Amino acid sequence: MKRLLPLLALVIFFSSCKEVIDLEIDQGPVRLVVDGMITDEPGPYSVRLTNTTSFTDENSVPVVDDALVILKSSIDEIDTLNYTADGVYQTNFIQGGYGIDYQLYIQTIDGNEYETFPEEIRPMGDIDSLVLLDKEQLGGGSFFVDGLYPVISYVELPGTDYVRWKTYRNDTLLNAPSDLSIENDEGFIGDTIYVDQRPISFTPFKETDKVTIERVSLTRAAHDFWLSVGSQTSNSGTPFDTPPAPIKGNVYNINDSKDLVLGFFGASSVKRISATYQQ
Amino acid sequence: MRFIALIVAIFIFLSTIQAQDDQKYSLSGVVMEASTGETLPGAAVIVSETGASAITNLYGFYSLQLPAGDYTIIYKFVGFENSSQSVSISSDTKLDVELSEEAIQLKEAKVSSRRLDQNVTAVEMSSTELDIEEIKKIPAFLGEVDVIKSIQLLPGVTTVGEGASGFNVRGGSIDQNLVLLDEATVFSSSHLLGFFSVFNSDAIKDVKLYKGGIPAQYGGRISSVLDVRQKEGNMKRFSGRGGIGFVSSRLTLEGPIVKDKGSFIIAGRRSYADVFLRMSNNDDINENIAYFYDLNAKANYKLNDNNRLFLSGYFGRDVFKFGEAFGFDWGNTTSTLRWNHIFNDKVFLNLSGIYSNYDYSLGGPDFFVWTSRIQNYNIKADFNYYHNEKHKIDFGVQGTWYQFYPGKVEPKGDFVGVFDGFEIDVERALETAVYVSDEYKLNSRITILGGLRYGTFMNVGKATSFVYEDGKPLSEETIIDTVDYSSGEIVKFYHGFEPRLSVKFGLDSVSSIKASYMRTRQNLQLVSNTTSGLPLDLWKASDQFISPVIGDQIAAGYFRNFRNNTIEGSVELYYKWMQNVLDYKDEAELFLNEVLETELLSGKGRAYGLEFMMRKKSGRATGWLSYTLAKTERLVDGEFDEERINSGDWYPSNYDKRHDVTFVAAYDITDRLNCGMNFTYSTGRPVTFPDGKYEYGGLVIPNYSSRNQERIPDYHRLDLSATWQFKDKKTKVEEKVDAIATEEQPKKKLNIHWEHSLTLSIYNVYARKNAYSISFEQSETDPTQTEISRLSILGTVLPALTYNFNF
Repeated sequence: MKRLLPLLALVIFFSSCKEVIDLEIDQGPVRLVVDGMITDEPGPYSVRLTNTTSFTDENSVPVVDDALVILKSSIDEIDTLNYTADGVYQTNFIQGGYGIDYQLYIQTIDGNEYETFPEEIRPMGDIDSLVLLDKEQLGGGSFFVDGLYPVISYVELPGTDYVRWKTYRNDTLLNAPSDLSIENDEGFIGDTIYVDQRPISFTPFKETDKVTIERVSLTRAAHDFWLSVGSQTSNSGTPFDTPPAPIKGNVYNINDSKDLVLGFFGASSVKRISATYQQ
Repeated sequence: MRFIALIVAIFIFLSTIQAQDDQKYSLSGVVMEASTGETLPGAAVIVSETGASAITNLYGFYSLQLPAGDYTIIYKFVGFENSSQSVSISSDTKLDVELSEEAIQLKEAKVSSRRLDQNVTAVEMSSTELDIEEIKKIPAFLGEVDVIKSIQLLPGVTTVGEGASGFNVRGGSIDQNLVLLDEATVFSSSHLLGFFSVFNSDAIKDVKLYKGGIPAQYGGRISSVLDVRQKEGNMKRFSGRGGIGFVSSRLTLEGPIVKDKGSFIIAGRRSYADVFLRMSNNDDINENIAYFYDLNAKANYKLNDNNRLFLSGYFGRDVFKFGEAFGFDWGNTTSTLRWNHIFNDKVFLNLSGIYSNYDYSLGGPDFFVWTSRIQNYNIKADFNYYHNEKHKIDFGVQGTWYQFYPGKVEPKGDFVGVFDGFEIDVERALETAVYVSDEYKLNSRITILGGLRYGTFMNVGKATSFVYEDGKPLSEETIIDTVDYSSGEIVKFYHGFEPRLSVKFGLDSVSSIKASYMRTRQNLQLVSNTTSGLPLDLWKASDQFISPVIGDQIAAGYFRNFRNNTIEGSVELYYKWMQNVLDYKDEAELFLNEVLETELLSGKGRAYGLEFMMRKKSGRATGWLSYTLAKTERLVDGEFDEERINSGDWYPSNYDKRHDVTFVAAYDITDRLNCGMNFTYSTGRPVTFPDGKYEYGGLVIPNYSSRNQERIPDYHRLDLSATWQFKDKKTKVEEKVDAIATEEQPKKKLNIHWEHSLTLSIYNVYARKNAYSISFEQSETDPTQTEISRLSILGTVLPALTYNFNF
């Protein structure tokens, strides 16, 4: 739905203007934030622990460097993570695999214990091809400005898949809130489907750019979490905004169920393809 | 069938009512405008000798009971010359009266001799009537005279901001207003999201807003009724009017079908922003189309003195097209067939058959087409029974059949065969109501209006619904069974009484105290969780998961007129509480959702406030000054964590505004030049500030713990307008009077006179950048930093010229 709204926004053709302002904002309680994932690609995998800070704080967010972080799998692997730097903890030996559940346990120095709900690595169909096409090759229209657009063909496996598409320009992730692309295939007909020549990003690329597309599997919970992240980071004050709300992830405080813990520990399979422009 | 049988029974009963009191006879008739034959609802009919009085009903009809004798009857209506008629009553008498518009130069003198004291004497409270001529004097946004925008200037009416669709009355949400156009429900009153309303001012006669003390004849929405009446068409001669404005052009034609028997009016309006877009050299822009249009049509015919038929319709649409690839359009269609029947001098009937439709379509030939629709068919019979001078009894029955088509998606082009088309189940519902009310003049001081409405609502099959596990929040995961309902089978039945009571206590000839209580029930709610309503929003019928909203309101006020009733003053206090108000889980998916109930929450609302208004309706200077002090809050405290908003504590509604001051004034500087102004100030609406931020996946995310605890900056704005008449108004009136005087001499030809005017309107004169919202985002230039921005939707001065003509 959100993607239709910019079209509606066109009707505010008068003189809407947006200005950056200074505002004093009170800070609420400091909360733990868990940011990490395990994939089917070779490890090590990282988990970053940070704290919330005041919205207007210009410094980088405070990190948690003294916690005990343990990754457990449904096949009884237990891996205690090592602290590296900048709040990041790394696994030692664990290797993510399909159909296995992964769960994180955290104990902070103040004695609070946290756990994540188990997440499963789900398989995902391959991306067959990636080409860069220009506006005319895509049929023109007012959706596209001049430039090249990544177009992919891929296999859609049976069952409902949840996916995040990631686009990289010269190995740098396009990571503005508007670049978030979270999908499910509930509307597709039948079993295995071959999706042919689908434009996957509306960001224009240059002829010299290397483009990488990643197809990252999500669980239903991760899909819902990312949708919330998308909507809470793209609320820009228009009449089409939905109400702001805290984003509930999959981390909870074992000792205090009322404590809001932020972030998500995910488990994903990753398919990847890269290409440059071919005349 | 039972419904029809009931109507027939009522007919038979009423036909037998006779003047039972031998000593009294009735005097009845219709009050009309002399120049056009339009009926005048709300005109006062006063018997000089006894002081007895009556007010004409919505169709201009009045009825009085008098002993035999000679009387002088005075007919009065704001802006019109009084008419004094001598009648000798010895039997039931009919007297239709035509009132002439006041000549401008006479207004000052006339005012002092007039007695227009309905503000004080009527039992009705919490209601405001605006004549379309009065609305036209208010400076209009981009020159578009707008009924809804004018309503928003009244005390107790707010919006979330500029360009927002709909309006909020006394703390109610936008779907709690019953918006009627010639009795037909208008489901979406906005064009271009909310910048303009669907009512073409040239086709509208008057509007009335009830914020409280809503008469028992109205039901279905809990907060207000906005009753918009279309013009009937000129009975006397062919005439027309129109205008060319910045946004749209209008043309209205009206005239007699048979002189003094029947008339018609047809009015069209179309915006032409797309015409400018097409002039652009840029292909990306000139292929885009954006416009709206309205078509209003109405005809009426007097079969005889006792029977009159009306047929009216409205058709309007907004259309957006992005090249050929993608389009979006939406609109309302309504039609109303009415029959006014006078059984005898005491009983008046209005029987209406009404159809109303709202639908939208979104998509393109290469993708998909998504459509949605709500339809209703309504039959109602409303009776006015003038029992005697103490009792005026209204009663009636209503039945409405609804069909909801929440959404259907059909793949098109390349998507055929790849995506499933699907349709969310159609919902059907039958709503019925009976009501009776009695306006009882206990004595010269006290009038009581007591009413009772009883309504039923049946959500009926064919339907399939889900059964959810007990003791768990509703979600796709907790579905344990499905239940099929066959066609016509009752899915859920609701019913309830809606008592209404208003009391007026006259203190003296210029002041009174009034109090009222009302309970209202609402069986449909608009499913919408964006800041402003969208054209895509769905109406949802009450079912086994969603109960009807119930509203209760008590209000009390002091009413006083000043300077021989030229200035009306009022102070009102109200307290309102609401149950079963819809709210939404965080990140609810409200479109094309088969399990919509899993996203919905039910909450409570409360609103209270004080409204003050001083209004001058006649003379060279007119306008009003109003002040509102109000508070409106919501509570959503469900059983489970995900069913709570703001941790289950009361929080301010999106449109809660503590203070609201409005000053509207119009002044006739000369007979040719008049000017208008509008100043409005209000407390900023609530906004949620983040209480922190965090990083996740390289994104900076604001963390919001509570809802609506802060405010955006206060809103204020000044608008001005000036209208220059190219022809002297004075001449116009004299000519019209002449025309009427001479109409009985058919040889003399009527001259058609062209009149022109030019209106300059300036919106937001001092170009204040009023905040619409404050948003909290990651900085685009430096993703590690955050940005707080203020959005102004109309942050500059917007002048517009409009040319109007009539003949």
